[in-house]
Amino acid sequence: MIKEDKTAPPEDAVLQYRPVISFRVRKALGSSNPDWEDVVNEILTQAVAKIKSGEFRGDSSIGTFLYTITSRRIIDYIRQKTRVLKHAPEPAPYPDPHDEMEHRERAKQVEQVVNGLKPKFRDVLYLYYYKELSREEVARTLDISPRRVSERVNYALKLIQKAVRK
Amino acid sequence: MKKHRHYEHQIDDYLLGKLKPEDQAEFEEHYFICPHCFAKLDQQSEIVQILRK
Repeated sequence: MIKEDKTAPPEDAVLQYRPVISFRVRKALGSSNPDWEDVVNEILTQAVAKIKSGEFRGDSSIGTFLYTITSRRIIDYIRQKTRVLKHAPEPAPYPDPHDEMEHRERAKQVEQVVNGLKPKFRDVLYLYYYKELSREEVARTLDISPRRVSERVNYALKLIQKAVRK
Repeated sequence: MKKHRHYEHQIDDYLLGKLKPEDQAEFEEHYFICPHCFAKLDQQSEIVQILRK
């Protein structure tokens, strides 16, 4: 749990959760949705206001409190978007060039590791992530046990994570 | 609270949209209060995104 400093101003306590809130919002709205940052900022502002007004009394952890606010805001956003923009074209995404460059670099690293893997690991990654088969389906396709599928996925992921972390 | 290991096993399914709605909500609530699981999720998320392309 993120350490809660009860004497810290609410802004500081809430801002520690920006990465988690951003992750959740981007996952729900899509990373290429240009609104995601605005939604995150709205959530943070709302949370600070609620803490200052005494609406958050500390019955739950601040993480749980922020999770609730985030989930509600996402639902509202999706409802609103569905209603207002039902027939309007989606705005074109404009990704951050720096993030894009880092992402491309990591994608290259992942590709290198995957290309260097033994075929038995590559096949599992391809079927599980790219073809989106379940573990059981991958197991049946390759005639191995689901447990073996998990082992191969975990092994390959560890190698990839190690390479990306460098 | 369930152990990290329980949630770590759900990371892939969450990222691939394979969790049941109730498990998904529980998982999401957990990573809001658990920096350890969130760090793993965040790291794995980009890799999975790359592997899916």
